Amino acid sequence: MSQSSSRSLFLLTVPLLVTTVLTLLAPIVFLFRTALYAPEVSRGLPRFVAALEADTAAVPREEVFRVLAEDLGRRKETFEHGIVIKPIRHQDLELWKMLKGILRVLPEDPSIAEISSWQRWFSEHDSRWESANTWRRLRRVIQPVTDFYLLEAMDLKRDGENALVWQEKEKQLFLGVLLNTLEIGGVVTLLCLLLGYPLSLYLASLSSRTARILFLFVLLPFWTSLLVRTYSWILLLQREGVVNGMLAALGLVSEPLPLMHNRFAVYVTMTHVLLPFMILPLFVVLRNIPSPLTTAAASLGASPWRSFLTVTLPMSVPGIAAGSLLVFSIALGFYITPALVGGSEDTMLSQLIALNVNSLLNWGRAGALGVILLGTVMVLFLSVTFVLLSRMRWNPLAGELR
Amino acid sequence: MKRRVSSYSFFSSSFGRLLLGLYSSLVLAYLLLPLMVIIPMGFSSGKYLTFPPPGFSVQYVQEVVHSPQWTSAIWNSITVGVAATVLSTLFGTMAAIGLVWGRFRGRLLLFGFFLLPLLVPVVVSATGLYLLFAKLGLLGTFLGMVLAHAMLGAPFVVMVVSATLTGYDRRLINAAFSLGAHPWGAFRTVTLPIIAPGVVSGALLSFMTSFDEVVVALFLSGSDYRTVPVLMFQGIRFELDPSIAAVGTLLLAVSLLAMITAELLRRRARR
Repeated sequence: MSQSSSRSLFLLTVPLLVTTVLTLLAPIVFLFRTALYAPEVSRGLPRFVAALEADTAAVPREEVFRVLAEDLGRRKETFEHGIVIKPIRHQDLELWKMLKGILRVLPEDPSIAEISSWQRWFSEHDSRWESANTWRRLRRVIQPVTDFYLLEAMDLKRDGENALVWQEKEKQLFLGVLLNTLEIGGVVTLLCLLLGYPLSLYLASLSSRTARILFLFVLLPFWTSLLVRTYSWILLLQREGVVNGMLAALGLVSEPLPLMHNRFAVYVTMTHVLLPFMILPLFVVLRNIPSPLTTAAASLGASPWRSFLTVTLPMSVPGIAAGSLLVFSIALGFYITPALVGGSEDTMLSQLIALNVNSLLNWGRAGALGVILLGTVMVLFLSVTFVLLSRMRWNPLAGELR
Repeated sequence: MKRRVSSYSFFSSSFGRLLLGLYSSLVLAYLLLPLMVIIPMGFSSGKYLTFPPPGFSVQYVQEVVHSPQWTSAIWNSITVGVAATVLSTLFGTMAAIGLVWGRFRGRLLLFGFFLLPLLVPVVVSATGLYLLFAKLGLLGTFLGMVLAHAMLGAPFVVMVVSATLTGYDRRLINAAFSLGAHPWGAFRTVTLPIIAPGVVSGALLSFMTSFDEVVVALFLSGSDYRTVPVLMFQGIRFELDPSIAAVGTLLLAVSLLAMITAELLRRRARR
């Protein structure tokens, strides 16, 4: 084919490019936007926000109180007040409650209400409206662009002087969950390696016919639905489950063992789900180690163990790296399995994201947690892949080593 | 059998080999046996999920077949799965051909970009899709689900088809061209038969991805468009309904079928 037609083949990739941009890239951009941008207040109470920004006093003058009342009144009329002040609820609950209090007693149409001083009306209702502290906090939460959610997702916040400080002890949650997630991912990767490496070694040493048949056993779990596999483990591990039933029948235990809703169940189930992802790359790499190398090692007098340590193991490092990377990065994003078999101590980052999307409706927080999860996985994956690709000079499209 | 792996010599000592074989059988049992427990449960005559089941019965299978909730979920799963598969297979195959045969800048980068859906944690893409689709009014719609699932399935098609293409001698199509074949004719008579097994395997993987997918479906389905995995997840989470074991058995059978088909295709492709 001519040079030009080889180049125009690019056009064939356009449909998928467009689809992937629309259904993957655009949602991720939206996720970042949601994490950093909460325009509801400045959009919903525009005159108040403009007036407050023009006023630099610690406690603003009468004008600002009046437009706040009027803007709130207008939103209340159209029942939009809840949506408009929602970001304030997530960022500063006390301030949100103060605004709710005002909304409750606000007269029908504030612009024609006969109130001589709105400032006095506010402070009579709640004396905190006189405090400079209230207004400093209010100035912060009306900003459309905010780092609040990202900081919150790392257990950080800004204090009165805008400096970064740790969240109060009882509000610290997110770093713990992140560490939990990394710990579960790490342990599961290690378990997969411990179970998967010897099995891959064994399968690689068999004749190709036997290996292929045994390999189906590895592939079946790979093809089976995640839910079916998780559900099977629930049937096995629950209080009245198969394992406890057998242990009781054998007279080994008098009380059912607590096998579900704990870290043990999470490890057992997740390792089961992810083991095929470790075995596949390991098997491919081990199978492709040229046998003359070990034969040579043996003929030079190396003991089998030594030939394994000096030839097979070092040569299988790319397989170990690829498998571990795959398992670890998939494990970090696990949601269904820990949600069904884990306890409250085993909460992973994905569960927190799902909770904030589906139940708490705190999208800013969900977005920030998503950004952190995505960032962790991407940094990890790209750095390891970069090292692997540059060391092996492997080009998947050419189908050969360059 | 061309060559044996190096590790063979390590285990030439029969004791070491025996030990390795024993350990490997245990790992294989760990992989396989838990899946089997769901079958007797699905055909249990008991009222609760007790093991061993008191007797054989198809009560739960019947319950599933006669429940409008389950049948509509099965219908949703199949229609979404088929539509997403058609979309991802068509676009994915085109992209793979363009990537492998094309000679333009940034091919490797583009290939990486097409595999990105596998790398991004599903919860992250599901959250982003939820936020975006809420704005576009695509939540709880057929179109929204199909687009999302096509995105998740396409990387498999791109991977499998481009792997098939790299193993295929490009001079064949050049020969067709030099003999005066029309591009479409050359594609239909030369390329398509060669890549067909790869395309079908990719489509199969793509369908199973959609059919088994829980997280995106959970986020996007709302209450109107529930698929089988969504219903199953909610069932397990809130009531541990025994009919789930029957559905699970059904899904296991579908997986087995898909795996065997893929395996047969792979063997045919090798010949």
